[in-house]
Amino acid sequence: MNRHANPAPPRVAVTLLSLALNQRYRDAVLGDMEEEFQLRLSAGCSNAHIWYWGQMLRSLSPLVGARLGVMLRQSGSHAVAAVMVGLFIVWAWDVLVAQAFAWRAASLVFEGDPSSARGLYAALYAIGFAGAGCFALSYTVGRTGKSPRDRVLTCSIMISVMAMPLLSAVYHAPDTAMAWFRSLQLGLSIGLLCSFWLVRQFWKKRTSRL
Amino acid sequence: MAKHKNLGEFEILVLAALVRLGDDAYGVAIRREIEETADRAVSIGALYATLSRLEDKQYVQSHVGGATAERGGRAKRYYTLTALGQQQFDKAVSSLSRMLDGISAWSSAS
Repeated sequence: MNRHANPAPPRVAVTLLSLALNQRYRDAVLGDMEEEFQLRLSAGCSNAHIWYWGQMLRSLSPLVGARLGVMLRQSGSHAVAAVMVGLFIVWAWDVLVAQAFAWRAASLVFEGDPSSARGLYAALYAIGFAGAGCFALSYTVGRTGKSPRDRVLTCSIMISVMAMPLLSAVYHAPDTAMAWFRSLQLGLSIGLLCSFWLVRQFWKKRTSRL
Repeated sequence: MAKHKNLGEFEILVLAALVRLGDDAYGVAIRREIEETADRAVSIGALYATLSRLEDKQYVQSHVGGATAERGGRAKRYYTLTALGQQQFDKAVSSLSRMLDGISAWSSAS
C-alpha cells in the first residue's frame, strides 16, 4: 500500500497545533494525531478531517494551559518582583527627573511659562519612555527562548515598563482628546513590542517542557 | 525536589492505563485504553498535558521509539511508571478502594 497516496492531515490545523507544542512533545503528539487520522480515513476523508480539526481545537486549551501553568509556577514570584521593580523605575524617572526637572527648568529659563515647561516635560518623558522601550527590546532580543522563567520575566518587565507611562500619559494629558491620543500611541507601542515578543517565541527553538 | 502531591482522577486513569499497557504505552494506545475501558473521551492535548505533569512529578518516564510511515515519519514516545509513580498509584488506588468499600456497604445497608 502506498502511504504517499493517502491524504495528509489538514495543514493549517497541523501548523496551529505545532505552535502550541514544544519541541519535546511535538513529534509524539503530531505523530499520534496522524496515526489516528490515517485510521479514520477508512470512514471517509471528510470524516477524518473533521476529527482532526475537532481534536486540534480540543487539545489547544489543555496544551496552552499546561504551558502557562508551568511558566507561572516556575517564575510567578520573579514576575511579580520584575513588575514591581519596573514600575518603580519608570515612576521614579517620571516624578524625579521628567516632572521635577521640567518645572524647575521652566521657572529658571522660561520664567514659569507652562507651555514651555510642558514641552520640556514631554521631551524628557519621551527620552525616558524610549530608553525603557529600548531596554525592554534589547532584553527581549537577548534573553527570550531559553527557559519559561526568562520568558515570564521578559514579559513582566515589558508590561511594567509600558504600564506606568500609559497611566501617566492619561493622568498628565491636558485634555481628554490628548489623553486618548497618547493612550492609543502608547497602547500601540505595547502591542508592537508584545507582538515582536510573541513572534520570537514561536520561531525560536524551545527547550522547555509543556 | 519533586513534591509528592495526591493524584487527580484523570492522573489515576492515565497511570492505570500505563500499568495495563506495559511496554506498549504510547499516546494513541493510552488514549484508546482509557476510552474503551473507562468509557471516557480524552483529547490528545489533555492526555499529553497530564503525561507532562506526571513526568515533572517524576511519576512516569518516557523514551522515544522508532519513526513509522503511518505516523508521517514521526516517532512514538513510550511511557513507563517509575518506582515513585507506582508507589503513588498504589496509594491512590488503595485510598479509593477503601472509600468505595465504605460507600457500597452503606448503599447495601440502606
